[in-house]
Amino acid sequence: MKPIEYAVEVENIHFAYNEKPILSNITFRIQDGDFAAIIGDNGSGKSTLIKIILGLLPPDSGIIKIQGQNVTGRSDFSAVGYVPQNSADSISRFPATAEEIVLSSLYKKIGPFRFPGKKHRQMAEDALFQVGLTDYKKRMPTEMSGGQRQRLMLARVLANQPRILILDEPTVGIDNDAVNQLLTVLHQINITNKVTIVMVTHDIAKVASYSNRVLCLSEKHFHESDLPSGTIVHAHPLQNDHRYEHIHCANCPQSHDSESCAACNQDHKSHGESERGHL
Amino acid sequence: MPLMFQYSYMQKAFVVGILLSLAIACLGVIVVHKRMSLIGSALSHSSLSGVAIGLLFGFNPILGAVGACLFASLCIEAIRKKLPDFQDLAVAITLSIGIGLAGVLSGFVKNASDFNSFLFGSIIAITPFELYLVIALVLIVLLVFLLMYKELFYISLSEEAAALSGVPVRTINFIFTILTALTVSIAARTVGALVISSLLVVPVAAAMQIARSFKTTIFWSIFFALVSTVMGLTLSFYIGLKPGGTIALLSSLCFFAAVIMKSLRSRFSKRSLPLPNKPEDLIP
Amino acid sequence: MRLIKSLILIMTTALILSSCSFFPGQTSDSGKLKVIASVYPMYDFARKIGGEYVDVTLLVPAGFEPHTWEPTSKDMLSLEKADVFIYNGAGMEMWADNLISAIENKKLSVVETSKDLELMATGAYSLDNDALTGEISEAHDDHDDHEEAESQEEDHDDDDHDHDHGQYDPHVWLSPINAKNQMNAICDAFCAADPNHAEAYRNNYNKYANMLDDLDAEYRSALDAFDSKYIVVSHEAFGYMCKEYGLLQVPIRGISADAEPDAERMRRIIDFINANHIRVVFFEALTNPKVSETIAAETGCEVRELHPIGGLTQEQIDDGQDYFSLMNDNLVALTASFSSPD
Repeated sequence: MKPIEYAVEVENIHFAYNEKPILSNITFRIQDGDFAAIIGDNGSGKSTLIKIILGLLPPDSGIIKIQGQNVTGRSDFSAVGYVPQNSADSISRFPATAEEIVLSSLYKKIGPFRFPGKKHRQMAEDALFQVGLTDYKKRMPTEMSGGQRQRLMLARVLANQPRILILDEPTVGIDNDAVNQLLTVLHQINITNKVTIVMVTHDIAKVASYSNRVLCLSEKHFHESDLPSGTIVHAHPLQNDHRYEHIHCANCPQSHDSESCAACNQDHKSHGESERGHL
Repeated sequence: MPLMFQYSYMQKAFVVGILLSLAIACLGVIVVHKRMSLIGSALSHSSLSGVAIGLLFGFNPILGAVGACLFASLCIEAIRKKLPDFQDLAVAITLSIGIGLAGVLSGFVKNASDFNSFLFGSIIAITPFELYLVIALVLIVLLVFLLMYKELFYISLSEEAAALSGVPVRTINFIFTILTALTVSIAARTVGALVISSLLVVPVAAAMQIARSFKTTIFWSIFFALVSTVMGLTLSFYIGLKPGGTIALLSSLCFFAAVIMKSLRSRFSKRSLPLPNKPEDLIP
Repeated sequence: MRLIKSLILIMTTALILSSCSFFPGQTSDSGKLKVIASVYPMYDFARKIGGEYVDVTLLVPAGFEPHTWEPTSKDMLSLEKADVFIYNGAGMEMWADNLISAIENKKLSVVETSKDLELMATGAYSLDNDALTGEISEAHDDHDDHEEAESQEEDHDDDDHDHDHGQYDPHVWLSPINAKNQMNAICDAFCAADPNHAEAYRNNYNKYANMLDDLDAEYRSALDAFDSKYIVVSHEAFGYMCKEYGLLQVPIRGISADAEPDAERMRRIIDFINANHIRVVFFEALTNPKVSETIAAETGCEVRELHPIGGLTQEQIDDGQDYFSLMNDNLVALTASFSSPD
């Protein structure tokens, strides 16, 4: 049997901020081609975990590998695309066209002190096409809806043709239709381009129908094992496929009986909604 | 030749005004998006405390001004890093340090006339040395801006994303900071602090009302800065208004004109606004 | 941390430096009349009249532009302990009224030396924009604008200059006749406050009154020889001198010493200089010479200093310069600017 290639491997991560432990003993793997959703309570360290995976924050201990390579000390992130939390909001007033914004992420490909050429423009256009924003090439974020802005952020990352796509709460603050559009686009990228997708979300009810792996981060513990039937997977259409790896919810009983985890799932949903309510 | 250009002081004023408008508007676009709009005032006040320190400790006050400006701008960068969520506070803090220090130190300068002579800058009283200094400065600023356009754009869009894409964010920020500090310290001394602080921000604010892309934002900023400067000098020449104040007022007028233009445009071109995408549009 | 450390270092050094230089003459002594003078001319006159019997302190420190200076609480304290406070008035010390009303010192005698003088409005004997336009050469030929300027004296309240000083030109001492009056007022105050030495004060006054008469005569004889007597100055501080000796000042800016000039005014002055073959642009001490230099460069003029004597630098005081030496310097500068080269 040939060894399984993992897109992301996380082993025994510990991280504390101001002496307060945020993450402890986190271990999981995400296979190449997965569509993984990371869920968890507010403050459970989801965004921190993402930043550690990306190498933006150094963990106190533990090993992170992306495509088999150690993250620490790595400076080439071209294989990984990252859409940060609220990134669509942060650019909503920025006076630049969609094309200009997407071109900016081709920095490495264009090279320092040079201007983008025809080739780069084509790459930007392709990325905008992938997310369905071809007609918005010359538009600015102020002229777009929240969902369109979010897809623009996605296009920016896709232009670099990443193998792994990491998104932090991409569905927050946009309406139902826009969430569906975004997830459709992500699903297509996942299926046709075989891009691994890792996504932090509150909106597990929607995401679960696209993802083949759900990781639950709660009470600062995080484990990986085979998914017992019935957990969160009831929301998933492919629940009999054995590609699912475990989720351990610390606030669920060790037995992982379906009701409590379903409750936990409910809990997450209500978090997501309440947060949207605040926005 | 119009009467205005028969006087060499006006020729110099126009050359310096146009060149500085170009450079300051370019820097301004980045400054505004880095949320450092007050940096013009902060740095020009800091440069005054540098003049005071220079006079007190007996070294060249211009050197003191440039030094204080560089120091202050590096302070801003440092505080920005400490308080990433309140980046505008960094400039405000440095502004009060600059004003306070200049106020306190000026009380100790024995010969206040020296201090006054550094306080004062007027666009219609440009010495030949200042003219050459401004030409050199603007050439450097424009060259660096052109070379680093892509990097500066990305950093203004998002420092985090820029860093992830491999932009040397720290180096670019450092170069930009030094460039801004140099421009402010030289411009404050030659054309006055009022002109620099208003040209750095207000034309950009006006440009953002009507521009349709980042490139056109820069062009409009330069345009508004040029209009303010050229009209300000012309009005000053023909009807005797103070040039510095006139330039500042005209740039604000440009802003309001741009706001009105924007609202008129959105009223008359509602139909050109995009319809929301339907889900089926998405399937490539 | 480094910033705080360096700040503390700078502050303490500055404090030490300043404490050495701010109040050099403040000694507690025996029986001398303690006098505080607001600005340099008052200080100089008080020392000349008082001689060895008074101890004069200058309130506005050497080197400070007196218009923009403000008293500190330390200055208030020294006024509480003084016997006589001499100030110029006529709007020179904008802060004086507040200061005097705040003082509780009952024995303090306050002298406003310009009280009995005939004050002129700011901008008197100066050519404003209207006077500089068009028929300059004509005005130059028949000396009409002298009268014109004199008539401005009355109706000048509505002019558009910056009135830093309020409505009067405070630089009264620039006429030696006025200076004599001011010395007389100081002398009277000293005699009243210290009758024991009244005779000495009177003698001193007589001595300097004679010197002022001589200075006046010198000015008259030197300046009467010229018929074109325009002086291009950076702010209109020389009205009393102009009135006395038939000069006309052409101020680049208004009365405010450090305001920015406007481009139109600059052009008019440049045209005026060219039309009238003026050879010198004056700038005043303690103000920025940059504008004067720009105009000089434009017209090929020479830049010279004309001292309004409102404030001296420490170096000038140490050099032994005083009212008389500076007035003589001014006369040299004026005659040099008028004497035609050919």
